[in-house]
Amino acid sequence: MSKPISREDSVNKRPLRLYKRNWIDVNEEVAVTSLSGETFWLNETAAFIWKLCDGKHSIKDIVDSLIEGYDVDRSTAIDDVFEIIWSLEERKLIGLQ
Amino acid sequence: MKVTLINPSSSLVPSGPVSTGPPVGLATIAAVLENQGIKVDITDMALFGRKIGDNEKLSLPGTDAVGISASMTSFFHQVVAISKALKQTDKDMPVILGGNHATFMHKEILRNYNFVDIIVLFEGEYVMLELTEALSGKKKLADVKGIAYRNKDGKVVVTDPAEKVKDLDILPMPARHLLPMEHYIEKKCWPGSIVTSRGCPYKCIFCSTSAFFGHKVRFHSIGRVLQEIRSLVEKHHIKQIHFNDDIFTFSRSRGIKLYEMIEKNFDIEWGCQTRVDHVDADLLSKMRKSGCGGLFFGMESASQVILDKCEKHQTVEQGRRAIKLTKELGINVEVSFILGLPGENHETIKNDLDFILETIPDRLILNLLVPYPGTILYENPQKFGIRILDEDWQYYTHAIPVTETRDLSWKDLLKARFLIEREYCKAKENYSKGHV
Repeated sequence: MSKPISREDSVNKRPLRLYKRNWIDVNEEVAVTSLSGETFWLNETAAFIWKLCDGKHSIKDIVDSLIEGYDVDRSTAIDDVFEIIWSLEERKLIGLQ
Repeated sequence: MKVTLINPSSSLVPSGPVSTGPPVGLATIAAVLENQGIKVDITDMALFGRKIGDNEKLSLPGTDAVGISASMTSFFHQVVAISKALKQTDKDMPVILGGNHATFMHKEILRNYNFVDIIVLFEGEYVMLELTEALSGKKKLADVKGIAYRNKDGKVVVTDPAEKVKDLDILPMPARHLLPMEHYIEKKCWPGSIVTSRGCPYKCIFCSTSAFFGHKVRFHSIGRVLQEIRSLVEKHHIKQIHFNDDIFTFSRSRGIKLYEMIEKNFDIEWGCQTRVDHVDADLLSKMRKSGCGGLFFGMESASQVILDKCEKHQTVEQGRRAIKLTKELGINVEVSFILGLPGENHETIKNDLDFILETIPDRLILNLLVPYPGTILYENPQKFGIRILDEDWQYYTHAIPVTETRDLSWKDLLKARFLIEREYCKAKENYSKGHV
């Protein structure tokens, strides 16, 4: 499978939530706030990924966990994880170590 | 002598409202200094989101002293970064801080940050002028009233308090020519901000305004306010004015005269902040007629017990009525609530939600309680059943919980914020559909 270079470069990086006390489980969703007060509601998949952004799991680990937890094929899992990770990073909610 | 005044950016907030408008306070200090022949520059880092890194150096060629606004608690990390960056380049550059946070935390700041030299306490205009005299060797630092500094032994010295400006009209107009006004206009960052009064007679336990500006409200004359509006309209072609006073309608009679004069002389839209107990149908109608398009009310809670505990001196009913009247007149109404005030519990949160869904303000601001230095709450949180979780000032933005109440954990408070916001958005959407 051909992957964009930026994905290859990032696959061993470990995403880390940047702030403390800025998110909470609300039923099956996770709600996250930025420091400026913008709220982001994460769906089940995004919430699963968000919870693994602890600085310990690499992006590769997160992909593996998503495959195991949700019975999805690797290609879909990779797309989902990168889309969500980049979106969270763009919003400055996580950093990549 | 040349002084550079700096308005810092927030440290961590990556997006959202970078600037809250031209730093009118700094521009007023600048005007006082310029009138005495001192050269002044103003650098508004907040406008462009310019942040100084931990190991960065900052050079200001030709500058003899730097004054940094340290009003906003959550911006303090940037104040520290800027001060440090200046000293890295020039260890002899006097670094002066001023504003609410610096005033109320002056001892801690001077003890902990050796790259901060002097702190101006409370209102800064004429204190800064005297300071420039001291820095030029014309007088002793110890003779400048209203400052704190470290002496040669490293001990923090606080001089006698400076007098507040009794007659605001003696202050010159803010030196807006030193600000990039075109950028505030282009970015729609409140370019028409004006302050027409100082002080607040109330002592709400979560607010430091009256501790900073005093309990007596001082006003600019109506003539002076009109002159400032005229200057913004004619020089900068600004059509929207925002009055940044804490309680713009505090004096009913002054207000009525001012609104009549605005209506007679200008074709502008304006907005302001006030209290729910300082408006009525007649006043609001006059405000609307003169161009008032937006009003901000600090409702803070829909629980009377909480309002009383916080010494807000307003009733839930007054809030309900004020919002209703304002909306009926077609004035955009923005209402703020503070979640986590003393006595907050699941029932009071429910009261807030019910009130919000009943009144449906045009804009809702849900703040989590921040115990700002200088407030009664910060001095004695235990008395109010508040537990402070964090004194990392970067988190003092109202978005992330930094306190808990006896009944509600930080998780409860954060969840309440999310759920109220979600319910409000749904209700507002339905309300808008029904009012097309």
